[in-house]
Amino acid sequence: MTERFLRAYRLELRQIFRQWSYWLIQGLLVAYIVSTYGRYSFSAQELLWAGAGRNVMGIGTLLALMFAAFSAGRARRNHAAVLEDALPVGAELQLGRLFALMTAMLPFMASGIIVAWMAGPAESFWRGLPVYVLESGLSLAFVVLAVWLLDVTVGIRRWMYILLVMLWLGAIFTVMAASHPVSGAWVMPLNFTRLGYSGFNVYWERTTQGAFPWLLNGFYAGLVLLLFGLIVWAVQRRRLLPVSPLVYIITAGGLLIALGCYGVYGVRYMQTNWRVQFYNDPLVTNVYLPDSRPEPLPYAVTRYNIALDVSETPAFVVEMDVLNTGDVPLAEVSFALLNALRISTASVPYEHADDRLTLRPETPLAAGETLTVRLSYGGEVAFYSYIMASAPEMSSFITPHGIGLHHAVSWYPRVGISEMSAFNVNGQPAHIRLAVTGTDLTLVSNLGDGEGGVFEADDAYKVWLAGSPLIRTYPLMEGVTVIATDSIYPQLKLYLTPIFTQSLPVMKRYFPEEYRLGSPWERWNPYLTHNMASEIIYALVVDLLHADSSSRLTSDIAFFIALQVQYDDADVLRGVMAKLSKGEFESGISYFLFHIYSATAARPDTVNRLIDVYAAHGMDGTVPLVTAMREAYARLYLLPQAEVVAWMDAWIAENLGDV
Amino acid sequence: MYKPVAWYEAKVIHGFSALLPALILPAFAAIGILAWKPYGHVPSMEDVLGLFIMALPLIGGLASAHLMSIEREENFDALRRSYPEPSWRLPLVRLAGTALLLALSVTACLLLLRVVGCYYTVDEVVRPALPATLFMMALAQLVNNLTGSQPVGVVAAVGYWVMEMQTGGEYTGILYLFRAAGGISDYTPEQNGAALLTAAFALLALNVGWSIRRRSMGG
Repeated sequence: MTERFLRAYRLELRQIFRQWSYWLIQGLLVAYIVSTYGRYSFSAQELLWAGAGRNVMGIGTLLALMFAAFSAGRARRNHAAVLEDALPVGAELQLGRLFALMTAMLPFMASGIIVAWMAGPAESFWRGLPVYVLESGLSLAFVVLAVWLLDVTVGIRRWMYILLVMLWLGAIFTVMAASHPVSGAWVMPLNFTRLGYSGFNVYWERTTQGAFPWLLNGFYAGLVLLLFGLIVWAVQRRRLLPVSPLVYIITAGGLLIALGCYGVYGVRYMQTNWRVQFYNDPLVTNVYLPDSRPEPLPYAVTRYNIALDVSETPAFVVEMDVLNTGDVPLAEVSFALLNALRISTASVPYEHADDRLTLRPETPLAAGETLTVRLSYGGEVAFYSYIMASAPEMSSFITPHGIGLHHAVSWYPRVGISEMSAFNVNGQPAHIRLAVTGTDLTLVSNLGDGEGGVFEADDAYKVWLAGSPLIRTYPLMEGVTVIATDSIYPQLKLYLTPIFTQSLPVMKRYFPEEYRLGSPWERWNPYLTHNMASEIIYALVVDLLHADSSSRLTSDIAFFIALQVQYDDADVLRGVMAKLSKGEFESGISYFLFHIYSATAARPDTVNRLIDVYAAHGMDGTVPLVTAMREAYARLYLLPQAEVVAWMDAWIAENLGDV
Repeated sequence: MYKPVAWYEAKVIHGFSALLPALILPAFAAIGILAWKPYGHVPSMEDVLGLFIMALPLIGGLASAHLMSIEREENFDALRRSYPEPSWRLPLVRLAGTALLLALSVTACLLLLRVVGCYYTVDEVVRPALPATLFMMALAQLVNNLTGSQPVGVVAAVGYWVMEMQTGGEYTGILYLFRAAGGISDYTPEQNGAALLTAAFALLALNVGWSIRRRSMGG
């Protein structure tokens, strides 16, 4: 039997390897993946787990569908299926071919491996390889087995190639159901192609996704066992041969594993989706950006002393000085504080509901007076955010594998707002000290270089904390510190050094305030896609002087760098900044940069024309032009750059006269 | 004489391999009726245009991926090549037959969309998608003819379409399939449409040329 199996294996392998189209497709796939992903500065692990790897799996499953259908249907196509059934052999003949086909499909993974190896570094490559091999192997095996089962039951016909392609397309389009709390939960795991969002993060890998990736792998591992058992059962039965009890055990085991993982996946998906979409869950709320920045309130916190113990259930002790900055006494002061964190003790009377903490001192807080408040609170921090075309992910969390505490989720009392918001209304910077105990993770914060888990800064508007075994801080150059991992820092350094060498003097002129930029997971910036440029934004800590930034400055710099990244040589941006240096900004530079970015799609000629208008007419001329461009965006978007400039010139001539 | 030939070609062309992709558009419209009608939602012209621009080239490619290998896969290729017919006729007749099927599919889709209040004309929502559709049909047909294999033709059509979706025309430039849907480009939709039509006719000519060569070589 073994000999028959091996002979069938070798013969099938020879059949496939003799097809020139097989090698042509392999070559084309490698060329496409390497040319598409080889030029970006991804780390090897990210390439294997996210972009290139997902693409290889997606295209690989399509190719596997076609090759499997072609190979499995060969006997029937050649009118030899009945003759084969009459041969005095069991399932070993089919299994030999089946395993040969699986073997022949494995090289389809090679393009992902090649591009990842080219990107390096080796440590990142080896870290990512096992999961990539496992997941792509599961996907390819599932596809091959499913097609083979189709052949041994109903038979492959020519029109089924089209049907299989339509199923493949349908699997990809399951993402359209992703945001629905019920159907998304049960439809999303059916995307056997794995094409699409992967949720990889360079700092926390897949910690933010919880158990979802492994439940999905379990589901497909179960299906592979189930299909394998069904194929053997169907072949043996068709040939009137006995079926071994082991086949039943494998089939039943596969069915149980698949159903179990599918069920748990679906239920958890519904839970998290439900939490994010319906605000009332105490554990989960949405961070959102209000349309306008809130006005500062008549009180501010001038000092925070935060102690966080993460050894068991996270426990916080916060001491803060609240200053009445207004002219009238305050009977109560409000802060945002996450509902999931339950207050155990407080030095002043309080009320905590709907993410809002209200303190009511026994005597009203007089103008200019400072009140020292001490709070103890704790609870599990697992703050989920909506992710397009995927299950919600934790954006702020404390787990043994990683810590991510974004200021916007209000894990410490933030001045004045009840909704979770990235904006800051603390009227003045505070002295903030954060001491973290109970973890071996490497910790970083915007408060500077912490030693022994203690971070401290004099003039900070906010505080965020990140912890990971992979995370490091690297001094890129004087005044610029980068938070990154070993796997991405070499590329990050190559990428950032020329940018900051050239533009640091310009940036200092525009951002003279003391600030520190960037939390590693500020993914709310909608103008950056998931590539190295976005990782830079997440990774940057620009420490020009020594302290913190307001949200406005953070977005200013984000736009600055986004624009700079958009232009290959940054010449246009330097020109932009030189021209802008002639004026003052009523609404802040981020307003200007935002509109340049969104209204002109950052095309150099259109940007330059906008700058000309600014130089001649200031914001009074620029804002109406930008507004008109945004209103006509659907039409302008279709036009070549020269015609957009011509459209702008016509508008300028009609509304402003000459520039 | 032409009637039996047309009847035979219609049967060969309009098998499940062509009918299945042709059903995508009517099926989408039917599902759309179920989803939109209860809420009174009327898809905008841009939405419907986007649907045709994205879907029609793929459907055309899939429906054409088997046309030139039917005789070879059914093992009567040599017999067919002995027929007293011009070599250029087979590729053109099969392309025309598929085009007819697609026209029926588009018509059914547009009629169904009227149920939810979409009274858009062919000129408004279908015409911009035609150059890319013809290009994909010619491409799939040529690959199918060169390889004699339907799966390879299918992979070529879907692979090309996916590559265009993913790269936004980075490798194809003026031949970008979805230029008519908008986006940043140095080419106008008219230039793009003209280039696609030219390329489609070039591929068709290659297809005809290859058919003539196969007959003359006897292989």
